Amino acid sequence: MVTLTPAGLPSAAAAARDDSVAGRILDGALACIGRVGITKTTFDDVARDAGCSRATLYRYFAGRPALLQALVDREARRLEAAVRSAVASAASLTDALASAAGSAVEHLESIDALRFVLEHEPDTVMPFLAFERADAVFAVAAAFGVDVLAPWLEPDAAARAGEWLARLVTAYLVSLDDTEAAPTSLADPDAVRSLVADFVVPGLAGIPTHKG
Amino acid sequence: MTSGGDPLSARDRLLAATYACVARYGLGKTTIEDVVKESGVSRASIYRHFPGGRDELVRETVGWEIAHFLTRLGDHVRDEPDLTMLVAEGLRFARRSMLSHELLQKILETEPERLLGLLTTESARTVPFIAAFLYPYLERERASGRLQAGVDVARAADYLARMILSLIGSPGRWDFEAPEMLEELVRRELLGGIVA
Repeated sequence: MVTLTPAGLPSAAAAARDDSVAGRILDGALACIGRVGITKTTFDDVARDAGCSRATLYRYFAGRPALLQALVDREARRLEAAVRSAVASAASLTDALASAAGSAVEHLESIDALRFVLEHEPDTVMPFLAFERADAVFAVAAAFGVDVLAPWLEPDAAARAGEWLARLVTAYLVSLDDTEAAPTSLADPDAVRSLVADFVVPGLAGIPTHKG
Repeated sequence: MTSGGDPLSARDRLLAATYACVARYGLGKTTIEDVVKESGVSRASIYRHFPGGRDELVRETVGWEIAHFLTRLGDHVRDEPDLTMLVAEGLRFARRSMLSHELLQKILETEPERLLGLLTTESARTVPFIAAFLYPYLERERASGRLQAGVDVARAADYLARMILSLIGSPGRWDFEAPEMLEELVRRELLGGIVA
């Protein structure tokens, strides 16, 4: 079963451009999904897009579920690298939190495969962001928050910020036009940044620090 | 119970019958035939109300039960004296209701994928519903001078609705039965940028 929680936190180097065979296969999978979605993407399609044989594919990935899991793991690492980089150049707490959320939305929107799935097959992705699976994603985000927000917040506040921003990004990933019954498009990163500045920062900035 | 002349009650009767079938056979195994037997309504009549067939019927039944849930939730909190207490009690009650909803828990255990796919489309309706419920309470806070300067009520309502829905389904680190924790969550993460 595919999960959204890769083992451990990423290193920037590990998340960098991946020219290996496995990397090309994953790029092939992304391209297929971006064109026809997850449900219609087959192992053969991926092999064709990656320019390799089925046999080669099987050498690296036991099957379609393993391939999808590896794809999710790699993209999760890239997402974390993008957010880490954005937060590293922040000049204030507001900047750090807003750019964390904004860069996450920006990065996710740049993935054509994800756009396709969210727009045309949301029921394939959303179950992984629901109930206990979302709890697991939020726990990873909390740990990540403790890591990257250390210059700005005490660990407990940083953990809360990590979880809350992950919640916000997933809750706003698809924008809702309130005149329609269905979501229309992906959220605007700048709108998310100003949401964080207006609604998130005041509460989290006010958390008292516990100094002995 | 009125007879089949009123289209609204006929629809409700079909949804209630479908709900009973889902409780008995599950989401995946419930058929139009099951609903025919349970409701006493003809197949042709069912398709008239739900041209999309079984899938539309099941989808609408999920929406129907969610609407009931939200109505119970709204009734439970509508008389809370202020927004902070309303949101806190709402989270606690909603989470407890979800955990004690036997059919929901059964489906989450036996056929979660099917349900979660359906809930996705429903959240597009649920968020605006919760936001609309909160809107007058936000207006009341403003009228009492308890809203921070410059807060856009519609934007705040939308934010709260989304985050509340996220919390109800996936509490993460939060235990809504722990009063101090709940108050922290409501005062800071939820209302920290909204209430003065």
